[in-house]
Amino acid sequence: MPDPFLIVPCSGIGKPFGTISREATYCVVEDLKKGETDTICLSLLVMEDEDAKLLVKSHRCIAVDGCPNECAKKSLEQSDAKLVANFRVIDILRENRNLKPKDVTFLDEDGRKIARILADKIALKADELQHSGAVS
Amino acid sequence: MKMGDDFYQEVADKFIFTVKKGLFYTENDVWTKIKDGEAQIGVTDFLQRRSGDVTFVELPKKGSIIKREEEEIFSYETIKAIVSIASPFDGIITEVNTMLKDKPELINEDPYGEGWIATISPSHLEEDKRYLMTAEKYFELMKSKIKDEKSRREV
Amino acid sequence: MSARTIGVVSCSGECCVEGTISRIATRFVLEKLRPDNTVTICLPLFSIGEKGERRFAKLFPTIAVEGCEKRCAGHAIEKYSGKTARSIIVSDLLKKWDVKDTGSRRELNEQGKEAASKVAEEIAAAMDDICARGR
Repeated sequence: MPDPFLIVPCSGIGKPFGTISREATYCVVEDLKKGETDTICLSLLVMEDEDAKLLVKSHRCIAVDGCPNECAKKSLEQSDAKLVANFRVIDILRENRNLKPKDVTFLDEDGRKIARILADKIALKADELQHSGAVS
Repeated sequence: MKMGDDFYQEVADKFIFTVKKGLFYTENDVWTKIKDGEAQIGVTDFLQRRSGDVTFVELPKKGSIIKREEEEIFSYETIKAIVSIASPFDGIITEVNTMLKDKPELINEDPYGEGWIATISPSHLEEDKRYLMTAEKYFELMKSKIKDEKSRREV
Repeated sequence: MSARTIGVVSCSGECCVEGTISRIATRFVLEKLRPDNTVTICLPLFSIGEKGERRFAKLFPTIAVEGCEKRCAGHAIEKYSGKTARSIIVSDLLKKWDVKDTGSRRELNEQGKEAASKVAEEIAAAMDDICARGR
């Protein structure tokens, strides 16, 4: 089995974007790229958990952020992670102007649609990186 | 966004609202910087925080003739709202911040700097300035808006 | 009880269902139980250094809502702002209530949602206690 990617969502609690980043991650890890990807708690990196730091340094990481604050990307960079790609929910919203996710606690229909679109993009990126033999 | 002596600050819960000193303001949360007869405009930190992350902008057209407070010259969209901005001046739009097309988040990240919207050449600058307020006056207005919003939430 | 603003910081716990319960319970407190005096602190934003979040956590009492005994939320607050006023550990509460099947980290089942509601009540009770005692 090829070396799995780590998909790391921001999981921000204040906006729908955080919930969407989380759902997109689960969609990739549990459905689209099951067995080829995994996830890790972002807060473990903040805690400087040694196992978590080792994981992100030794596996290719894809950051999935909600908004331009880019918390997941920045936390991964601060941990010297092997960051190979990053996505932002807000960019997917810009490409899909008709979708207006509102709910934060449980995603509404538009939120689920955005999450799925994002998940497909992440999965595609993982495939591209796998086939191009990008840094592993 | 730079802090310190350049800004007035008001803290409400975890939010720090800023008003940049030395600019003029409208009661509708638009700032303007007047220099050499030209006026650069943008939205205030208070407005950008209230409206949320900007996803789309509709920029004004360079060369457009505009009337003070009469029509929308700029709008932006967030997941919460569509915000319309009217011009504080009669005049012509001479410059537009085209960076906002690809990076609308500049309005959120740096509303008084890189998030500027347009530059206007006012046709009646002194007359229209009467409708503007100083940073100090706007700061007081902003504080009362924050207080009103908090009271509305608690009702 | 005097209304007082209290920060609630939830672990972001992507890896386990307890993390999801923490998050949802915190949102229930903000949306339904104590909307007037709850401020949620976004842990990822707090962790990268957002001034408003860190300043708030220094000046106001905070409650950490943890998925598990690793206590990521509490440790982050203590590292950058100061000691939390209370800590609620979801895995401990589920054990205490003998709740075993809550669904998955991605989607809670009915029992999971009920557990999240009960955790929210615990958070609200902790907030009331802080207000009553002054800290």
